[in-house]
Amino acid sequence: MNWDELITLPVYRLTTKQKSPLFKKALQNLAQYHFENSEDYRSIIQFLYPAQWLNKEVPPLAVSLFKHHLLKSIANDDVFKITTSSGTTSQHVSRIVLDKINIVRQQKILSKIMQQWLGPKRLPMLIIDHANVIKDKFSYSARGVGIQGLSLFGYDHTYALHEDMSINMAAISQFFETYKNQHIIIFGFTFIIWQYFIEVLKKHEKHFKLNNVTLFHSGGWKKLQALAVSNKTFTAQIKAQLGQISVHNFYAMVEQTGTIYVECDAGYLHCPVWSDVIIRSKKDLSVIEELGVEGVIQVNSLLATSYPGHALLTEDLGVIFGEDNCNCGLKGKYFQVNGRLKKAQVRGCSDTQS
Amino acid sequence: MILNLEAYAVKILLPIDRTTKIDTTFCLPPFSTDLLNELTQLGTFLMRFGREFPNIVAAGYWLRKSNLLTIKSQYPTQQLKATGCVFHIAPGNVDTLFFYSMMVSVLCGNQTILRLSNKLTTDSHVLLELINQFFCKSSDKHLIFSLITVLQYEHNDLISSKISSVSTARVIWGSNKTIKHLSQFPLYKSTNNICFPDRYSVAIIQIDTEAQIKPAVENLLRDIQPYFQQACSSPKVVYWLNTKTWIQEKFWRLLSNQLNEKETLDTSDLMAQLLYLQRLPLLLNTSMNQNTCLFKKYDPLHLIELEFITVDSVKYHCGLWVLLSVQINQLNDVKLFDHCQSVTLSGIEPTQCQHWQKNTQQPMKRILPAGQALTFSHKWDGVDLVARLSVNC
Repeated sequence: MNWDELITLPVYRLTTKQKSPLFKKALQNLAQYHFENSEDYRSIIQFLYPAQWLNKEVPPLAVSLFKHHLLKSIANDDVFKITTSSGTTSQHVSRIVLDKINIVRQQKILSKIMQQWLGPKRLPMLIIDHANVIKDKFSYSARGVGIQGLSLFGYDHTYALHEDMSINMAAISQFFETYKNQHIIIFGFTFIIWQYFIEVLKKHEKHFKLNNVTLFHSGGWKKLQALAVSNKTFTAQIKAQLGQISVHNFYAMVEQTGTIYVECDAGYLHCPVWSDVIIRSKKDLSVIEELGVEGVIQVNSLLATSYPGHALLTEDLGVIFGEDNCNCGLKGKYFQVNGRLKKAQVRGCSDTQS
Repeated sequence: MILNLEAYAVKILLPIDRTTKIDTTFCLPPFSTDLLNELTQLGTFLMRFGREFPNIVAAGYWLRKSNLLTIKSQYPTQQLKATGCVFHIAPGNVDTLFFYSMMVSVLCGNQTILRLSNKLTTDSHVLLELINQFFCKSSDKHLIFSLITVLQYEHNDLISSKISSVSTARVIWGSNKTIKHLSQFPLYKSTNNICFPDRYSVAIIQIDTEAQIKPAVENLLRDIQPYFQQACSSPKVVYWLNTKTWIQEKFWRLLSNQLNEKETLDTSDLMAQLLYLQRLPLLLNTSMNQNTCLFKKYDPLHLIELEFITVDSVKYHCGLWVLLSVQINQLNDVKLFDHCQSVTLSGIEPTQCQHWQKNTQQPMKRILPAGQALTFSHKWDGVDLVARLSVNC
C-alpha cells in the first residue's frame, strides 16, 4: 500500500485483524527504505540486529538516540526543517529532520485524526498560552509545534495568557461571550492549563457554564503528579470551572509528530490506523503480547519517512488494555500512559553537581 | 579565620553536632603519631561495625597502621606542615571515594571540608553514620573530629564560592563540566586546585590455559562489578594478548554468568545500555572506516569485538557491562587516548610488563594488576595528593 491508499483508511475503524497485515507490510517497507537511505540506520541494524532483520523484524530505536545523533534518510538539499523537543527535563534535545513531503503528510494525518473529534469544520479556538510562544526563537520547540499544529483546526485564535503567564480574563470572557452558542476548541499543555488557567479561575471563583466545547491537552503528567493531580481530578476541576465540556488528553511526541493518541470518552488512548503501540517488558525489553501488563511503550508510525523514527522505544511506561472492544466503540488498540521511567542512575563521579 | 555558613541552606552530615561555624585555620602536624593512632582506631571501628559492607571494610582496612606508615615513609614528614583548609567536592554515589579524599587530607593535618552531592548511596549513608558513632563513642574529643566537616547543599554557586574563598586547596572529583564550573571560584591566596576529571580504563589479558580462565574472570569481575562498571577505573576495553578464541569465549561466558548471579539491571539501566549499543556503530564510524565490529550478547554482558577503539566509543561508554574487545599481538599494539587512567594486567609475563612499562609512551596514569583497579591510592591519576595537600615548613 502506498500513501495515496494509506491516507484513505478510516482512522479508528479497522479491527486489529484487518489492520495488522496492512500495517506490518507498510512498516517493513518503510524500514527497508530507511535501511537503503540512512547510512546510520543501516549501520545500527547491521551491527545489532542482523538476524532480526533477516527475519523481517523492525527493531525500535531508543528515542533518545535523536538527542545525540542527527539521523536522516533524505539528501541534505531536501532538509526543510529540523524540529526539536522542548528539552525541559534534559540538557539534550531531540532533533528531527523533516522534508516538505513529510511535513505535509504530518499535517494531513493530524487533520484526519482531529476531525474524528472535532468534525470537519474549523472552530473558534482558545489557546491556553501566550501568543509569543510561537513567535520567539523557540518557535520550533515542542510547545510551539503543538500549538502551531493544533492551530490549523481553529480560527480567531485567542490566547488566554499574557506573556508573563498571568491570565487575560478580559480576552477569555469576551471569547466565550462571542461564541456562546457555537462549538469551540480549547487547547493547551496539561500543566499550563492547570497552573495558569484552572487554578487561577478557581482562586477567583470564576465559573462558566459552557457546553459545546472540546478541550484538548497534552504534554505529560510529570509536573502534575508531583502535585498529586490525577487525570480524573484534572478533568473534574475543568468541568467545575467551565461546565459540562468534553476533555481529551492526548499522547504525542515530537519524534513522531503528526501521530497523536487521543483519549476517548471512556478514558483510554487510541491508536490511529497509521500507528501502532507495543509494550515491552521492564525486565528485558522483550515484547509483551499479554494485555494489561505495564511496560515500556514502543510507538511505530508510518509517518516517519524523512528520518528513521518509524519504530521508537520511548521512555514512557504504559499498559495496553485491549483491542477492538473499548466501550467508546472505536476499533484498534487502546491504552494508558502511566508516566515516565525514572532516569538512569549514574554511579560514576560525573554527578557532583547534582 | 572563621567560616560562617549560618545564613545558607547547608546540611551538616558529619560531625552531627558541628555548628555552621568552622575555624579554617585550625590544623595539625601531618602524620603525627596521635593522628595516625586515631585514624587506625577509626579503621578498626569501621571494619568491625561495617562488616556487612565490603566497601566500608575496604575503607577501614585502608586505615591500617602499616599502610599509613608506608605512606608516611615516602615523605619527609618532619619538614611538612598542613596546607590549611581543603575543600573537597565529591559525588555521593561512589560509595567511599569521598572518604579516601577526606582521609588523605586529614592525614596531612588539614582542616577538611567536604561537600557531597545529594544522591547518597546506602554505603555512603552507613559510612557517615559509623564515623559519627565513632566520634560519639569516646568521651574525649577526637583530634580528627576537629578537622572534618561533611556537608550537603543544593547546587549553589554562592556557597561554593564562599567555601572556596577561605580554602587554600580544593579537590574536585567530577565531570569536566563540573570541574570547569567549580574551578572559577578563587581560593584563599592559592591556586592549588586539584581535579580528577572523566577518565577511562582498560584491561590487558593473556590466557594460555583453561585453568587460568577462572582467576582472570574473578579479577575482571572485581574491577567491573562495583558501580556497574561506571567508575573511571573500571575497564571498558579488554585487549587480548595472543589468546585463543575458544579461551576468550569461555572467559566471557563465565564472566557473564558470574555477573548474572550478582547483579540485575533495572529498566532505566537497560534503556541506557540500549542507547549506548545503538550509538556504538555511529561512535565507532563503522560505515566510514571499515572498523569491522561484531556484537555478541551474553546477557547481562554485552561484548563488541572490534579492530580499533575510537575516542567517542569510550567517552560515551555507559558502563553496565558492555565491553569492547580488541585483539593484539604485542603490548605495543595498545593505543590509548589522553584521558586513559588505569591499565590492568592479567596473565602477562612480568619481564614483558616491566619492559613495556619502561618504554611505552602511552598516556596512562597507572598500571596495576587485574582485580585492583578500584583500590584507592594516595597517588591518583598521577597526582600525589599528600604532596599537594601539604607544604614545606
